[in-house]
Amino acid sequence: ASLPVEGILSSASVASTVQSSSSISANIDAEPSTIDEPVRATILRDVKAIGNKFLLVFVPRSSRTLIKDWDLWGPLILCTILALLLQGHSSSSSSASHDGGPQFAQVFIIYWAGAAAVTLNAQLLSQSSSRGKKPAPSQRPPGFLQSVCVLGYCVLPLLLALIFSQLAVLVIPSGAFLVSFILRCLFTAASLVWSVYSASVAFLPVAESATAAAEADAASNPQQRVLFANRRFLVAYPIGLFYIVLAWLVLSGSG
Amino acid sequence: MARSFKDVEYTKVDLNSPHKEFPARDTSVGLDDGDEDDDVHYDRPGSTAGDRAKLIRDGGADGEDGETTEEAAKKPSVLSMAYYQQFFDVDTNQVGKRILSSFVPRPNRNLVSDDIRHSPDLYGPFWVCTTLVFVTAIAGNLADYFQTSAAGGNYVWVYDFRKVTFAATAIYLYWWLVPLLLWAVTWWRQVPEKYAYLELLCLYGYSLSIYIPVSVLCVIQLAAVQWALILLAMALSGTVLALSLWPSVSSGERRTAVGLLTAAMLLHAALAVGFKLYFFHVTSGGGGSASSPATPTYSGRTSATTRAAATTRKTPSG
Repeated sequence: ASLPVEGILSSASVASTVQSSSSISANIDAEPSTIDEPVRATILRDVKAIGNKFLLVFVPRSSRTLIKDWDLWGPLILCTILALLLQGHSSSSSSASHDGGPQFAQVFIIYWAGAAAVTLNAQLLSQSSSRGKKPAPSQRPPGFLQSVCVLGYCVLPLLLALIFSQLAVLVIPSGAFLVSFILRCLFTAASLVWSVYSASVAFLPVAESATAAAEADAASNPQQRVLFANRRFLVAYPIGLFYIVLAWLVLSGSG
Repeated sequence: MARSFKDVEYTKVDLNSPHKEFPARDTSVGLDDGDEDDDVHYDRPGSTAGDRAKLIRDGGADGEDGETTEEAAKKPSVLSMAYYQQFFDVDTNQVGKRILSSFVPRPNRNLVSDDIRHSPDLYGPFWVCTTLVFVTAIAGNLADYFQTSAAGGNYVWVYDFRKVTFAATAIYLYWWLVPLLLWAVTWWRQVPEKYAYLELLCLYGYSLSIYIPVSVLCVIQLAAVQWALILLAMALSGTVLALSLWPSVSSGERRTAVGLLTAAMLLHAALAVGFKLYFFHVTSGGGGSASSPATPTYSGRTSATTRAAATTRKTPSG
């Protein structure tokens, strides 16, 4: 009787490690029902979850799924592709082959450190707890990594702009530099606005569910409610700065 | 003097008396005695009167006060989020007001004592510095592009990422090192009314805010315009800086005060001029490219281009 048990245990451990290494989106299913599924099904489910979040970026609405089912695969994929594309060009007309463009690590650092700084800023400004007592765990502000997830996903329009720009540079002859430059500028600007808008729609509720929690929790302190409401711009400005910096990288990385 | 927990008052600052509570703020290793489990949501009340006195620390056994209770009560653990949240307790209009008054010198107002003292924040200075870093790098990139394309060089729009790192290093160093030196000298010289390090940080951070629009405007490729803008910004923010620092340093010895103020102004000017020369150098005729020696390779490339272009044909100056 021990051998079948061993067999089940080993497949269960493999499946559970695969499952635990993937996103948390599978929490709706009861545990036993997903143990026996093939690995391909698990991976496909997570790929679908990531794809869903990409679609959410296109149609910005403050969806709770983006907050609850967060994962960092999407941001990682986006960041890697961005960094790879940004250093793929070695401009032919200059002597140095690697002409001052960002190295892979620099893009990485800007991306993740920027997202971390913006999120940290929102958390530091939040001050959601009431005085002197702990809020219930359900009323805590969303976590650090959830906000990083949202910010990372909303880089998608800028990545599309980078792909478009690099294609445009290939397609449009170099004589019409100004035309292609203006076109790329417009496209990058449009995608910048899109990124900022979808991030703020998705993010500010992420940061503002703290407000709701604070309102529910500390109704006796009207001052607290007013305080947070006066800081929306302070929270939103670093988001804009983050995407502007990325847009600049995109614009000047496709020359 | 022993104060009980109830009758402590934080908003009225008597500038004539030595500030006992402010040094307590910047020796800021909050020696926590134990209570770290409610860290993330530890509240710091708003900056109005009376709230700080009511801060209740749950679970902390701070009944014994050989140390004054309000000190232990108002300093959460360094490891907790609440400790850092107290430096971000500002509203949008407060930040806006501070930025505005950082380059509008008014003789009877002191930025530190009027605006910053009751709640210094790190939000404004940090994001002003970060914005300045990126705006300067982008503007410098744009300026180089316009300059070399005006000179006729076949300039490909490539940027130098080293501009960003250089700008970041210079600005952040200036932001926290100069106040540190100032504070250290005032501490060494035992200036009675020295500002806390946090307040100096705040002051210096906000004083850099005028350079953001100036950087954007310096993209204009006229040397006269650039210099005028830089000097104007330097004068305005330097004046505000001097007006804010003078009441503090002048309470000490005369020599120290004058020396400190001169040093602060010199460093301020050095930053501005250095930025102008590094990011926005405009060549006028052959060999005038005042590329600073900090980046030999990159400036070497563009200035080689411009020098070559300048020698072959007369480039219009500026």
